[in-house]
Amino acid sequence: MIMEANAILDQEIEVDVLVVGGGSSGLWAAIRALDFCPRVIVADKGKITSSGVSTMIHGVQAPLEENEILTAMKELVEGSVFLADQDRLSILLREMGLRFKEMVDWGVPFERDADGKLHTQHRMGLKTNRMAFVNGRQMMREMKAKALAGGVWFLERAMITDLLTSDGYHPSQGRIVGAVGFNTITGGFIIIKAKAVVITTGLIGAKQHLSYVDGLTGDGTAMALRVGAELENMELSQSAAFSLWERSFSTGGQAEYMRAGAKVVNSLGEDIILKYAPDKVEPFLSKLNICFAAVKEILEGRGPIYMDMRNLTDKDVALLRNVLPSAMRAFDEAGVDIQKQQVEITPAVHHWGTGGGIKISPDGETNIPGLYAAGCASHNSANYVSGAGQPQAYNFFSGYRAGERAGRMAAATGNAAIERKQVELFMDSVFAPLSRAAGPSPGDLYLAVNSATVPAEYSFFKQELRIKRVIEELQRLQAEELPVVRAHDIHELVKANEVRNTIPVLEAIFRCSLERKESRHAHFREEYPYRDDINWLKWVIIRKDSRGFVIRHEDIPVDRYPIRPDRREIVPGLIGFALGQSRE
Amino acid sequence: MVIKSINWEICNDCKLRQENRCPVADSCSLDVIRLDDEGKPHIAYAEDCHNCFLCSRDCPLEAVEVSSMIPLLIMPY
Repeated sequence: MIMEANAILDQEIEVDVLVVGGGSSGLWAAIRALDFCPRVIVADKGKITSSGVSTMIHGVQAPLEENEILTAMKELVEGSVFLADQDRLSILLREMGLRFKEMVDWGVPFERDADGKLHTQHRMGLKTNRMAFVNGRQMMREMKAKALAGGVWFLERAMITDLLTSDGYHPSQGRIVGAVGFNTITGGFIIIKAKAVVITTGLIGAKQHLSYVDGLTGDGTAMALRVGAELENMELSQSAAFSLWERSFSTGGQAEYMRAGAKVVNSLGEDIILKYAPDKVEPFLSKLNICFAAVKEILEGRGPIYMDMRNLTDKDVALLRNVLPSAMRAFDEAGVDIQKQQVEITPAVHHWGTGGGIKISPDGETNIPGLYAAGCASHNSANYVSGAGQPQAYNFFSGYRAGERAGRMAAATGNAAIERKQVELFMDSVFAPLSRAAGPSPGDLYLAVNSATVPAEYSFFKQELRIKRVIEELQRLQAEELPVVRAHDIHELVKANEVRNTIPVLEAIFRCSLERKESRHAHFREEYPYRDDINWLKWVIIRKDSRGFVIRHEDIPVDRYPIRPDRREIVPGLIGFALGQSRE
Repeated sequence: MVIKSINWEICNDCKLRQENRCPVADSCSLDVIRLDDEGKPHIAYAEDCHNCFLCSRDCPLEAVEVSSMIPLLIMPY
């Protein structure tokens, strides 16, 4: 059942499981939860199959043979520079074939070769992991049909703003008993009583208009943070990509162009992949590392950087048109023929939440009873090697498991009472921006957030004083600007509630960045330009208590994991760089 | 502006539009496009478009024109 947006006024709904976010992990969670309890609802800010990133994907990690799993795992763990949770990664690699098969049975149209076999390709820098191609929109449509046919309810154009707790407090020492929010068109207040809530709100963007993530603003991550849930690996969460082309337009799909053989060259015509990794040693060949190298080239005066896709064949381009229709429309609309000209690229951190997220068990449990998470909102144990479809496979696996655990828990639990005072408090705070006659707009706040976090010296090349400057600015926005933000209509009210979520999550990211005193994967510290396996084979975990942020470390249990470093040592970074030096 | 225009001359001929089933507002997760009381689509919040092209892909008569060009907010360097 789809509850139509305009038909909804103020309403109260009672369910077993509430899933917040209608992407692929959310639909998997809902479909699986329904096996254990009858009342499962998915709430989404937009319309399911139009919102989120799953709609825009072009591929999924292909199923592996049993004898390939250990090798595939080694590639991914080394790509994560040993940060991956190998317990979860192992389950993922074993279970993703099952999820994939179910999706084929539902009618998800994966690309096939002329003989009918699944069309798969190895990705850049990977020898065992392969990608199966699919148009994400078509995939989501089949998943939506499956969920609806099974009896999942959809609540669309519904922004969930706050979790309800059994003790009525944030942070809570009780359990999650539901959530509140409002309809993004009518402004109708929504109260949902739920025995379990699964957060699947995906990545964390700050409305930069890049990579189709303007609707993903860290809502679920912030809600989890407010109730006291732990976040993990947030300092690794920035996602860098070449999503800005010719300094004027944006598309996705960069890893796919590079997989097909595109080169990245500087203004001198030097191939920067060959320059920084002449033997193409893994794990250099990731979109992330190439972005770091490209930014370094630009800051040292050898920009602009171009992507040279002139060697792509007509067959390559035909596949791109099938699986990346929006990206190819953007090139067409801009008058760029990728087979005939080099295209200038601007590497940028365009969203956050890729490597870090809500800390979960292999079954999607957070440290707060009744609260579960899956997909890119959770700490993704497989999402360190870009562009090989692991994020999608992770969404399926983690959504399925979180849905199962939430469904089982809900089936065994009686209804919990909600605290009416807490509901009233949230109702007042959610709508407060509408009642202000003056104050900054949400757009003003997003501009301030991006000014503080997007420049390369804050997002790519971090350093203690600069990180502290970012934290101070985010705290100032939180304390001084957010309480007076003004919304002149319901549409702006959505954005006011979004920026309320983005700011504290970004603060958590930069606090964790200050904590990790080494450089590893997406986290580069100018003062510590090396990987320190002696001291930092650790996960950094952050939560909020009533006094503020609290950070702890957890040793990564590499000694019991199947894949581990040869020895614990300090390893120079692949890309040495100091902003001060480059400017001298 | 990323989303540029909706050509109503083309739009008016659309069977879906005449049957009040225009898909392009539903295509937009960011609420950039709204339908009026007669089911006619209009651009309500152009500044929020993130050029996903779903509206132009879903419009059966390609009446929605979307530009690739994005307004640059903050450059990374």
